[in-house]
Amino acid sequence: MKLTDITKIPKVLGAGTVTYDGFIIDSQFTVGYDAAKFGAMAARIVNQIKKSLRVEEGTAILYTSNVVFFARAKAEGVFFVICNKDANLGLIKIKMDKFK
Amino acid sequence: MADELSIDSKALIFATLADVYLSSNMLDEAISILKDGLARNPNYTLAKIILGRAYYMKGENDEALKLLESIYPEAKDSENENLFLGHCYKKRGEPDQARKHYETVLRINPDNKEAKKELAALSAKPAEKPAEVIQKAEVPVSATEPTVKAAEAPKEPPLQGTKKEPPLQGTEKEPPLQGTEKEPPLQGTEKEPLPVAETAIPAEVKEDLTGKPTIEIKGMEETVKINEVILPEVDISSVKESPEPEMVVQEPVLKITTPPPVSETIVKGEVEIVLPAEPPKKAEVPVSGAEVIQKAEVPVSGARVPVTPIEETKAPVEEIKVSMEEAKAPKKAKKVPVRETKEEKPAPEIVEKPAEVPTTPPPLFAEEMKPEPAVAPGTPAAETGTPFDRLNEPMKKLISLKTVNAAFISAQDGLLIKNYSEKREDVEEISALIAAVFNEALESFKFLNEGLVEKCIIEKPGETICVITAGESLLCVITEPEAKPGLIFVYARKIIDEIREVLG
Repeated sequence: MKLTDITKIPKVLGAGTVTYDGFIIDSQFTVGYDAAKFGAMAARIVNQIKKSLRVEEGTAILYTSNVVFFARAKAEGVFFVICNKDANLGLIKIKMDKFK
Repeated sequence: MADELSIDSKALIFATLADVYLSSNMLDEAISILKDGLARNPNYTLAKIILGRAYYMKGENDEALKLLESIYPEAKDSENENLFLGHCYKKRGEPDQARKHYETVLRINPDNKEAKKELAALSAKPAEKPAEVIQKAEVPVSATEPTVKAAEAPKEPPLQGTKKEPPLQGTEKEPPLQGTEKEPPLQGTEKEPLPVAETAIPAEVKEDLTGKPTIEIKGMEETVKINEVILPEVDISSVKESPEPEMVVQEPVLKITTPPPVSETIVKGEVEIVLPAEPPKKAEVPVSGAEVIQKAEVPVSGARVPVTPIEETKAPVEEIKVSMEEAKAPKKAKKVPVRETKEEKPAPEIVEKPAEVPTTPPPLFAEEMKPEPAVAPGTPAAETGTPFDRLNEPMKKLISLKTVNAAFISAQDGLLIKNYSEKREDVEEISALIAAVFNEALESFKFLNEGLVEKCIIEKPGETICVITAGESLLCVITEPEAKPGLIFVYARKIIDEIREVLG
């Protein structure tokens, strides 16, 4: 499973992995989207979830007025995907579950 | 492909890190990282642009220019490449080249404020350049005349428009010009280097050439003044003192909206307040009818309260029926001297009088006053007659889903508003924690200009939490991991509409 398997889903704007301190490990984004910014935000949100809900692993799906943002906490870092609101979120979630 | 990605990601990391260093003004660290990274990945153009920027920020203009020019063919469409080339050329004293690059920046990104500003500054100056050239040609430059320095620095062009120039660095911190081409290192992108020709001209020679020594000197004085005067001096003695504003203390006015006949204690324009022997009893529940008797006594001892004439009061009168015993009871009480006790009781207490009138309290307020444990909809306790009743039915449907463990409404600050399930005891804690996560996400997306968070699903081992915004409130549903979030949102939609109506 590669990043391209997710980013090739229609309406997906980008995906990447980021360390818990916010540095990008790997990413693929469409032009105009800053992977570093989204990666840092994913790390920030996941850290807050880990701290508040006292969990080590978990997934957050955030719907905003513009985009939908997935962030999954894993042992080695945070995997995140950003897509348009009309993307197939279920498909993205399945692909995320398969992502190693 | 994987190798390519690997290289790219490494490159991105060192370039990103260098960018962070630059933002923190850690120039040497940034340059070091970039040089190392470029040694491993010499074709990484973005890193070279960042390195050029670092050189520029460090004041190594020639190095920056050399590097940026070397990658210009492949980076000519880069906004930053053109921006910093523009800065370098400007600093080098080549405004035409600088202008060309700034214009390119604006072609790439018409909103680039820095380029706009620099272009505006450049277009405001062009008339000065020919004069400098003439001076360069005609004036013999005395490279080692120490007395010149103080006089020449003020000959900078006057401050222009919005451009921030360093105010008179020449008078205090003179860069080592001495006729050499080397310019002082820039502290930031805003600094304007001193023109070399001007700063090397002896003051007296220049006065002779221009023939307007007075203008030169005047210009210097003006500049010095600008530098010295930070705050305008104000002759305090000449300022006429304005009279102190008078403290006007308004006595509270108690409007007794009582139609005649009124209680005996009421006098036109003023009321003698009598102290009841016992705390006044609450009046009975309003009874419909034409009998209107207003209690004259106020539960505050001895306040003297001016009263507006009865004829002027037109406020609607509340219909209160008071028993005769209650009406007479205050008359037995001892009269309290009005003036002596005037300051003992603050007036606002008088205003609290209406609270004793048995009006129906606002439903939401009543809800807060009587904190109840989780009220399961459908139970008799749930039928309290509050606006929340409207939520009972849809909430009942929601929590009847077998995968739903809890559902509650909380404020965005984490305070629980209402819990609809008794399955969980830690609802208040969860409410606060969810609000913390939600607010963190909200802040992050605001920062990225990606809109406001509308809903959120947090999956953790053992349960899933769905949060949906409803105005200023959050509807939180805690479910089993196998619950279908789509179904939850369908049920939640109607509840959200109701919450918006009830809570706003």
